[in-house]
Amino acid sequence: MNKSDKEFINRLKNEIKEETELPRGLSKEYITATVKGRKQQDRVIPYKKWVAVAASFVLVVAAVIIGGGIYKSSTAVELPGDSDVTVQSDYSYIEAFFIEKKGEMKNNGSFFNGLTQEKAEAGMSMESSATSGSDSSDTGDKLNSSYGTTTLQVDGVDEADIIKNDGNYIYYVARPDYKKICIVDTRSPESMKIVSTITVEATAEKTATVSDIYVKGDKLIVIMSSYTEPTAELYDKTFGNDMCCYCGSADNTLTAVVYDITERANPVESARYGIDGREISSRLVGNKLYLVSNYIVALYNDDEMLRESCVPSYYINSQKSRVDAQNISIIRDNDENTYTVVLEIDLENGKTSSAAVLGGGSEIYCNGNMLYVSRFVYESMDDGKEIYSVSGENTIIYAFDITDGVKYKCSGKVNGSILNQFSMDEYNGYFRIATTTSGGSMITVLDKELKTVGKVDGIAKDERIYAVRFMGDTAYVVTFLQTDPLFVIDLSVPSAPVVKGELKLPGFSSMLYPYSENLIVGIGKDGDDNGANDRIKISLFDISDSNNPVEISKAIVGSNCSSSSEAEYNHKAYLDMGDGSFSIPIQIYPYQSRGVESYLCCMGVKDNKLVLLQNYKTETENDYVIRGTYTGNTVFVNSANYASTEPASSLTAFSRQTGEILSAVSVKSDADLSEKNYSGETVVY
Amino acid sequence: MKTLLICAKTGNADAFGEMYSVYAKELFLYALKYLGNREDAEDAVQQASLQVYKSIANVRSAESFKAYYFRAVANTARTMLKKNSIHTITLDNQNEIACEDNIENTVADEYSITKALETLDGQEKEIVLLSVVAGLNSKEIARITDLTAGSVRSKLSRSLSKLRCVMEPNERGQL
Repeated sequence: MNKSDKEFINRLKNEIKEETELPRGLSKEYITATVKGRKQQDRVIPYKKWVAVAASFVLVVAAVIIGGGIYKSSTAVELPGDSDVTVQSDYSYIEAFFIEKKGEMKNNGSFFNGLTQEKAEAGMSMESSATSGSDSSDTGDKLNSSYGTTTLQVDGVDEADIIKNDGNYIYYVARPDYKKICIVDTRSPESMKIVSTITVEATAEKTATVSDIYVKGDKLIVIMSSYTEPTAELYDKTFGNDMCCYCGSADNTLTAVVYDITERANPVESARYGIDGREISSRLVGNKLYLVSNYIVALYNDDEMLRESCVPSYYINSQKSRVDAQNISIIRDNDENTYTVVLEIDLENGKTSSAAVLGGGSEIYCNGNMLYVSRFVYESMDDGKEIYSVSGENTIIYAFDITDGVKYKCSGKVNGSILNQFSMDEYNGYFRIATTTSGGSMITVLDKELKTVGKVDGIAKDERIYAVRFMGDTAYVVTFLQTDPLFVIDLSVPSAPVVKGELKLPGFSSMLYPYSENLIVGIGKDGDDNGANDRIKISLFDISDSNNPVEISKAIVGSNCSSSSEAEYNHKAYLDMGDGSFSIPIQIYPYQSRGVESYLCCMGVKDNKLVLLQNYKTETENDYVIRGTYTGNTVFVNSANYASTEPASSLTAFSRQTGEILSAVSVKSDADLSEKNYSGETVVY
Repeated sequence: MKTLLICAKTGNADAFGEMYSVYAKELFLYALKYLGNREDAEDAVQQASLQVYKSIANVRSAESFKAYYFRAVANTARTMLKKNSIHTITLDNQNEIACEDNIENTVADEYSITKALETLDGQEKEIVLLSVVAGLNSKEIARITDLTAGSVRSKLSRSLSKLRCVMEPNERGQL
């Protein structure tokens, strides 16, 4: 480390040290109370023994004893897929369950309940070519009517994003505030106009953050998380004397605010739907919107308050209702206090349906008929290594049937942890899941009841999964330690998956995007035999011979610099440009000079080679390009300028062919978030 | 510290609490800067604390306790950040919450460093924070991030220059 680095580190140290007080939940007393009475683990548990434990899904017989009396579980209905799950006809069982288990929950693992795995961010499946046309030569008429849409995992199952395009207007969430949405009229790219901005407000005492939006016809749906810091009074009520529990997420709400945007210049809030808990994800299938959250029950010492908090609620406008008891599944032998909650909203008629299962989720996979929620569980950390050994990681999958309202169906369990939503897939009635385990990567095939029917494990020992893509009968898995093996796994016989081909390359791909039947685009980092470098590598894989995948072309972004792209980990940043080309946002950090260079990079494939078609760069210095989209022959770039003293979030229109700027609009970020009015400036070039 | 570790290993929660309190602030700072909001930072440190307590048998010496703890926090925070992916960092939220807590108005520099960190990817942020907040050396950071010590050093150096680009544009010094 050179001297100037050291000086800079000291400067950072000084600046960072100016900090706030520890939250109450991190006081010495609280942490001490938290660990008190917890079981410590012995140093080594043999791996085999552990696997045996993990494999046996515990079954416990009914009859829960409460407050001196026996609560009969005769009202319990066992689900065909899950013999250890009960569904109740009223809330008394649930309330009794929590009151009975309160002590246990406080003492066991309740902090792990919210522990979630990586979020749904990766590629998409083959059948889901996300966007419009893909004819590689045609840039003429066909393009004029097409426009860019969010890259999806499953065709027809829309995913929320920070930008949406309907061909006439572009809607984007302004950064870095995440409080307002700009609606831009893009019908004349030479003179774009912000026709309106929406500032979303939660209720008075809550702070809200917009995560993403959907646009469906004349409806704009804003997905928003709101949160209230627990008050001292609330802390006291939950802590009581033993201080040994957690406030839960009673003050977190995941809300979808629906705006009628028939008049784009005058959006009107038409409805508001919410569920308790923190956002896991959401999906939009036709007119049905699905909100999925984790609801952590606050374990109040006061039984009355616990009775109130132990059932998750949903909200229609300001009307609060509990999730129906029949729709709440309690896994009996469970000291979890986190629910996965799903709310379905029919945007046409406002009808809702909800379901919850006790057990916190992390990633979701939805194909329109089923909604799978993965839950990361950590069960052991002992295989002789120090901490957080991979062998302790397991994944539970909860299946919800969403064909007619939301119904919890069953659960299953596999060894290892998943990477993201692309680690899960359903095809021909089989659910497939790719996990990183202590013995290497593994793909498990499960049936409709989530019972394992086949698996292939031990792929790339000691390496972890960097990217997964299921495409019909085949899975493509990238693992990485020093070089980048791309594995091709044949899943055509569900009970006997096999590794067919393998390709080792320097660097790695962290996302795989199907380009055509025989080509996959991989986006990741460049590398040499010593590991990964710091520059983006875009690879083109020929997968026509599954025994022998080949990298037929690659592009490395920048020289003497490091470069990165959100498309390395977020599929929504990758855009099919509708004409056989694709684009990703790129940031370049030169080693020798200061500042960042950022642009939307558009590439195509010609004669099986990657070709750079155009870089679309805004005129603002140090601007960060976040997303691209297009309408016909105009390319739009959404960017934000974080570094400026006046951060602004912009949309710039370019000519697709020449890369020339046509016009730009921007809104300034406002530190004072109570101020609602932003003036949209139009700059005409 | 050595005695405390021995006691903590026998299941003495108070001893563990004492050991925790030595690093409490740094651990929270790390999680806060990495995750960008107090709520998640609090969760991360709580979760990690439980991990560390449960697995404390694995801590070989009092000297490695700190790195061990940071490793747990870093892993937990990483998992949480991936979950929240792109919209975790809500600068204004943080600012607001800080004010609610009656802390002196956030220092302008502090604000800019939070912003600057947003330009780094997850691993770079980890390396910078483990170095700056935790004060760990490249070897210790390497074990936490699954890199070699050499690449930790080179990544640290690159990340620092990235931060400078943002924090000292045109070499004006501060924003």
